[in-house]
Amino acid sequence: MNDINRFELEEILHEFAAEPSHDVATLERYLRAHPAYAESIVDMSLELRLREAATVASAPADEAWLDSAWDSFQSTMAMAAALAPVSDPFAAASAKPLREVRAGLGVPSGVVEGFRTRIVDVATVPDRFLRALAWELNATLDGLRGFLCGAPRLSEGMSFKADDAPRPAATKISFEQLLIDARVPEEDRVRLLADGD
Amino acid sequence: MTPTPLTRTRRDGTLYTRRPEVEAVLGSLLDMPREDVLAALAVRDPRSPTYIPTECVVHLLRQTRYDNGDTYFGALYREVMRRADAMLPRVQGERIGERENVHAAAARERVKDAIDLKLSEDLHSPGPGLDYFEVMFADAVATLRSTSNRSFRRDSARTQPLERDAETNEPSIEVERAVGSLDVAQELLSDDPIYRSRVAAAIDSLPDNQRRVIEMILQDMPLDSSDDNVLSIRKVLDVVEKTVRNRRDAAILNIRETLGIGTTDE
Repeated sequence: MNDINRFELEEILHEFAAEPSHDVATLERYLRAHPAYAESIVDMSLELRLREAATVASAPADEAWLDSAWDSFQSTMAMAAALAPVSDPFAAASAKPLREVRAGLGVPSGVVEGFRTRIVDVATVPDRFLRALAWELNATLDGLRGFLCGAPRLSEGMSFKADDAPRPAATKISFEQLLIDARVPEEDRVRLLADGD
Repeated sequence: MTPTPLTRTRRDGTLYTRRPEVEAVLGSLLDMPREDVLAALAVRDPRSPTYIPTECVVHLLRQTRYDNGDTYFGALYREVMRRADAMLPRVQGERIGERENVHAAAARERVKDAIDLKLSEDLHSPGPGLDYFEVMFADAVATLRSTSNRSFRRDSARTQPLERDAETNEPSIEVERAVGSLDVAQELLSDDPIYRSRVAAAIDSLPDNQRRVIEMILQDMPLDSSDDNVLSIRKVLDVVEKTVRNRRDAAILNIRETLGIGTTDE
């Protein structure tokens, strides 16, 4: 079965499962409407019947199986993260315009720019602010962290007039310094530097 | 906080939505500190008024894409898997090596792998892939199990015992007697939940062609019919009536053997 048919089949089976009743009338309706998938529809009908017969049995949770399931998922995710190329969350198609990000976070544009150019040292940024920024960018927290670990880069869309070619900053600055440089008032700095949920 | 709406649509274009009770619980969960959410997950009895619907746990798990701190994420992940496990045919400890349990254990692994895949895709690039699990978790798991079992069943069917050549073998008198004395529908209604789950596992471990005949018989569909308007089992499977009978008989013998019932002669 190719992927498109598989997708269509999954949709049909999900709709069948969501029917209020799984009596013979419902089964027949689906069998007549989708004869090409008759076998899978019958399989699904039985699946729902067996679930009803089997789930009443209360058995203690299989904690050993849950442990191994969790271990294997963690290693899969770690491997996927290691293999995934670091992408720029600011350039992603799903990212909001920067002015909305800035407004959402309640900070001046210089602060957002400090993250976009990676001049800020990610280790000095409170988790709460990082989470909020990831949310605003529609990025994952790990993805954003991975991006910020990269070397500082030049700001895009700005023109320079100098004798030498422009170079990105050589060293990173702390989040607090970034806030000071962006002229964030002290009371806002205190709020932004606070950590915790 | 209002939960973000689902984006998955049906084939007719209408949007899938969460059930109202799920929306309501989710609204309050999203405003709760994480410790309180984790404490609430400790309620394991689905009949308890404070039991959190699994659809809500799935939503919280998906939300962790913005922060998948291991402790919180791990607790939600384990809870989702714990509940998926509870919905699958049981792997009975005392009969762990038996055919139906080997089958149930393999099916559970495939469901876990399928959920893992959908979840990691959802965490990396948000999409409607897990929306079904927020509509009706149990149905989504059943669908996943049904689709993930397809190729596996085909591969394993030939290793099943009592698989006869359905086109030529005549059933023996013993077979006819055994078939006549086992009412599968009644067995599935047994008062004993453990026995009932064993009957379910026995049916589930049948080869494809036998299992499908059993389901249609359980739906009271006729084996065959001369009326063109009646959808018979023969018509659905596009085989001769004799084949339908043979598959039914082989299925019932297999179920009897799995359950250790024996034939009426024993």
